[in-house]
Amino acid sequence: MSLFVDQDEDPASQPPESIHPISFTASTNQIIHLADILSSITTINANATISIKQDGITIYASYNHITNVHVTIDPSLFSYYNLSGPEDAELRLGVDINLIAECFNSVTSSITKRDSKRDKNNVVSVGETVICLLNYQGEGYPLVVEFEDNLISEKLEFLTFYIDDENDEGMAVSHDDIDMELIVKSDVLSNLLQDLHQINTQDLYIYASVKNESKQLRFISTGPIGTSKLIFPNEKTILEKVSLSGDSQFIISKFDFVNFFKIFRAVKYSFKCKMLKDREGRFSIQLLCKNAYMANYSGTLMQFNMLEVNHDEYMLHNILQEEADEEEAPNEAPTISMNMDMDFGPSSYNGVDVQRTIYDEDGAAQKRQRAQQEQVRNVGGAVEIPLFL
Amino acid sequence: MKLKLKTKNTETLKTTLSLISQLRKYVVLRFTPSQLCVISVNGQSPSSEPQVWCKFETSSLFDEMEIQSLNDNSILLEINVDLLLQTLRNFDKANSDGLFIRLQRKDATGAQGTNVSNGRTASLALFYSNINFNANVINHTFKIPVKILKNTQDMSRLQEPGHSNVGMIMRLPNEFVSMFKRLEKFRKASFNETVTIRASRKDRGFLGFVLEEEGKFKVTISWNGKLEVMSAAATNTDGDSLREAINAHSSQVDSTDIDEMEITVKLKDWQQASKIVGTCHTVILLICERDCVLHCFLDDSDDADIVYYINGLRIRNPLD
Repeated sequence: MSLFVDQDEDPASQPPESIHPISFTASTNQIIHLADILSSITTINANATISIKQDGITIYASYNHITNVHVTIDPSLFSYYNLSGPEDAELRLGVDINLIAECFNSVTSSITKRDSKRDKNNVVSVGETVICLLNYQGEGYPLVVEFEDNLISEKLEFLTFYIDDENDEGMAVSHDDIDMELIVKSDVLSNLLQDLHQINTQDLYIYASVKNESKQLRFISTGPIGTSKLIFPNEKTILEKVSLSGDSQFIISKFDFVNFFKIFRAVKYSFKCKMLKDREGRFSIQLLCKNAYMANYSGTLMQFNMLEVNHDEYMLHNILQEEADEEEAPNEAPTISMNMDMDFGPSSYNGVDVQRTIYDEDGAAQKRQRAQQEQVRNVGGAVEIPLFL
Repeated sequence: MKLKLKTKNTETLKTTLSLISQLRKYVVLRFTPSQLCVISVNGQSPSSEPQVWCKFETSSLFDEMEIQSLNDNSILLEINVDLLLQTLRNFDKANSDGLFIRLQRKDATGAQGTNVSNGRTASLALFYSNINFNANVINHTFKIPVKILKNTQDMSRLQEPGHSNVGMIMRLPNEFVSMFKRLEKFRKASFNETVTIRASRKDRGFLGFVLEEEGKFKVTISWNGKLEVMSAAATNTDGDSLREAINAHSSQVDSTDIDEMEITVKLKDWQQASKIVGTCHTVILLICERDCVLHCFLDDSDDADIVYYINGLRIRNPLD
């Protein structure tokens, strides 16, 4: 009848944490790296779950159960990392990651400004001027982030909330059943994604094939301006690995580009990218981000999982047809010399164009890939593509 | 009424105008023989929004001047700040040897009807000449429509707020502008939009900003560097008495001085001072009972003096 619960009555209900409370404290000066990582997550969802364990911090965010991201930050990024409690202790907290990322970013901008000033005086200490302290005392407490330099102390208390353990386990790629594995260089991929974005790609097809020991990776875009094919350069350093499971010659995956583009920011910060697809069509992109300011850091791993969208048989046929055409005349493929007149076959009247962009890297200048716009080529009858003329 | 000015260097005026041009579209210029005052104030509710009062000695700004009126030789004009600023910039680029400013009655001809309706019955004419590379003289004339303020209603809203009950006076270091950068992000993130400024004279002086949003975050950003806290008795804060005040403070502490102060202001109002604080050579923060004031000097001379008034919000926790 009492409104108040007698605390002595049921000692068993007391969570063990309250007897040995688990608390977490860490400090680092790698604020730029953390800001990059955090802002890559915000594209997925403004809210995220942080899990703190002895072996590192995992941040998880998910969008509509079709895309999710796991980020694992190694404790070696922190100069001090202490999670009190047993070996298997874990703290879970839900936070507004957008807000936290913004706070990190605002500190980063002041670091870079001040450092650029110092560079002129040759007293360089990039990113080491501001110290970041993290503190979390467990459930019910705010996540405390402090930035401190010799001018400003900023103490931010972010309220944490409880997020249900969303069951997105079904989205993880099953590693025993891998259909496709690609390893590519991230800067080429990020340029490619940027181009796909600029031409307003709606659907993205990723075509991977291994034929006669030659690896091929194509990104095919459809959108308001038609169809475009972007060819990944087949070079050991850029296209490191294309492996398909035993029997298949090629694999085509289709994605909604708006959703796929969410990985863009993360790709920009990473240096190596691995893409996996299992037999059930689950797709995973793993990105390894090195920290430019900390040479001995092994890198932060960001893993995006997403689901394919249903295939469009018509488009599949066209892609295969296009690839077959190309194989028939392999010598004309990478050059721009193809003449308009030569290609005016009977199929050209269908009026649908496929443009190709070949990404290549100029050894020294790695900045911007030379995109070779190849002459317009026709594919039979992909009439579903809207053309605004 | 007569206003005739000549100047060679408009740098001070130009910089000052560029600092306050973001605030409002129109500013009031008050000319008196000794002083030019540029006032940015909201016409309808002057007390609810920040006001800026920029004061210059006319003798340091202008080489020749004639300022006459029946109203104690003071002339008040309301003018579009962007147009004035743009004209000063044009003059700056033209490499001319002198800018003449004159107050002119609008021509009776032309689009008179529209001019009368918005009260811009006169114009401020700015003219200069330069010599182009063909050795031809080019004359430039700009006429900016102005409204002459005469009636008592206009005068009453142009009352410079005094700083009564000054609790704390602090000199803010030049690096303080990075504090504004840190606060800027909360203009987007926060719905509450207020910031509480806490100041204390203890230890090496403390100045902190507290932002709180129910259910989301609580933030305290404080200054780590040393702050010069001055005795509130020395409210006369021009360049020289500032230094005197620092010396006086070290020798004797006024027992009436308050140790701690707190004031809540709109974050937007505070952040709008960012450009002023970032540019001015000397910035002094005065925290008063109901408002706070940023008193700034553009350079180490006392020629230009910018005062930014922010009203405090009366938010009191009922449990206090």
